[in-house]
Amino acid sequence: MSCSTYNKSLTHAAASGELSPAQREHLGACESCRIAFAEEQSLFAAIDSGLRAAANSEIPATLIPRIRVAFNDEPAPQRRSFSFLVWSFASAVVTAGVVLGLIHLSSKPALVEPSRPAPVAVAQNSPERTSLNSARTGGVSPLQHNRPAVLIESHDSRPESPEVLVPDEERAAFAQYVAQISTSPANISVRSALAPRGPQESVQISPVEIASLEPRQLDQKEGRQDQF
Amino acid sequence: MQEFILIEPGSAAPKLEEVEWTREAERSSLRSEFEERLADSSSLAFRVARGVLRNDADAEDIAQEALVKAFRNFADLRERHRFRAWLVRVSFRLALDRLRSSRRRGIREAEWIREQERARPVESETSREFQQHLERAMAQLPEKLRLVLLLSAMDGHSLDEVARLLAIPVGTVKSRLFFARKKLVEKLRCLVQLTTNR
Repeated sequence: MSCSTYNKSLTHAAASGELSPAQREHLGACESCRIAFAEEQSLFAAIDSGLRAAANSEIPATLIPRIRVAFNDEPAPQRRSFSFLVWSFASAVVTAGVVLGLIHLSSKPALVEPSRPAPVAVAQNSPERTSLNSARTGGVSPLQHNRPAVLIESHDSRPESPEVLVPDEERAAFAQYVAQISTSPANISVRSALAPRGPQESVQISPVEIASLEPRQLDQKEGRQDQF
Repeated sequence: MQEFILIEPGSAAPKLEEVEWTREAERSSLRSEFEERLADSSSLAFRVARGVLRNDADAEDIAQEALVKAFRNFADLRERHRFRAWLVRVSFRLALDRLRSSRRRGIREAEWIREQERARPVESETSREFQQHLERAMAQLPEKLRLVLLLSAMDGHSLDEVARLLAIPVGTVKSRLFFARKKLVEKLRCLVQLTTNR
């Protein structure tokens, strides 16, 4: 094998301090490699002695007294108590909870109720529209879907601009029906009868009347029986 | 929640003064234990810091800072190996921080050269130059390699001790040491060739 093959491996060997049998054999035969290896070893030896000199520098005489002065000024060390650790952990958990809560609240979109079209009329045979309007008005009783034509007023209804949803084939009949209601003197009672019964409707409960009592004296027999 | 205190029959609850006295005794025992370790640990902290900073005055400052920190945490660091390992890490970190403060770097370099000349009056010029180059080459090594090199070069530190101080396996210490020395040789080879050709 040529010397160039051994060149790197000899540096490696000088760094680790271990020679393989093949390297040993080559060094015995090749003088130039032997010289190069010896130089490499002396360089490592110089580095090691330099490192020892740098790492074991003399300790200044002032070092220990000045450290002693510095730590004498310090309060004596104390072992951290269990309660301290518990309180630290608890406060960390609470802080994390508050921060997470704030993040959650700030990231949540504001729930804004969509503006509702005020009065809504629902006609028969239009289940899609009925369900749509039920949702809009905040829930209408399913029984109302069976009525021939129902006029539903939302709570913020504006009578001057009513919205009417009527199928095309029932439009004429519905117009007649509305005209009849609006011209009738009893339109209020009809409309209230047709209007959906929401939870806001108050129920009038008449107070319970207590019958008047007539005082009566007890019989003497009854009184004796009570004694036994 | 209701709290119960168990009191043995015939014994009284410990008085406040007794509790205070026990605490004070523990504090003084911690202080004396720390004092016992001061000589050994201060030289360790100083040498680690000096290996990084190459300046006695700065290394003294760092050793003091590291030991005062160690004293504050001594209650949790009473185990000898743990204490030394902690001290090496803190000293090395503090020294690196100090080294990185560029404001003082120029002054430190000038001081270091003057100090080197004062410290080794009998040394030949070649060996002094080599030492300076070696320490500069060491400063260019990665932190992990530098610390292993420094600790293993300290008197009384076997590879096992270095492994314990750095909390790494002995095999890792060996490989780091090998690479560190190889890098140093590569850096210093040119210098040796130059000096031999003179």
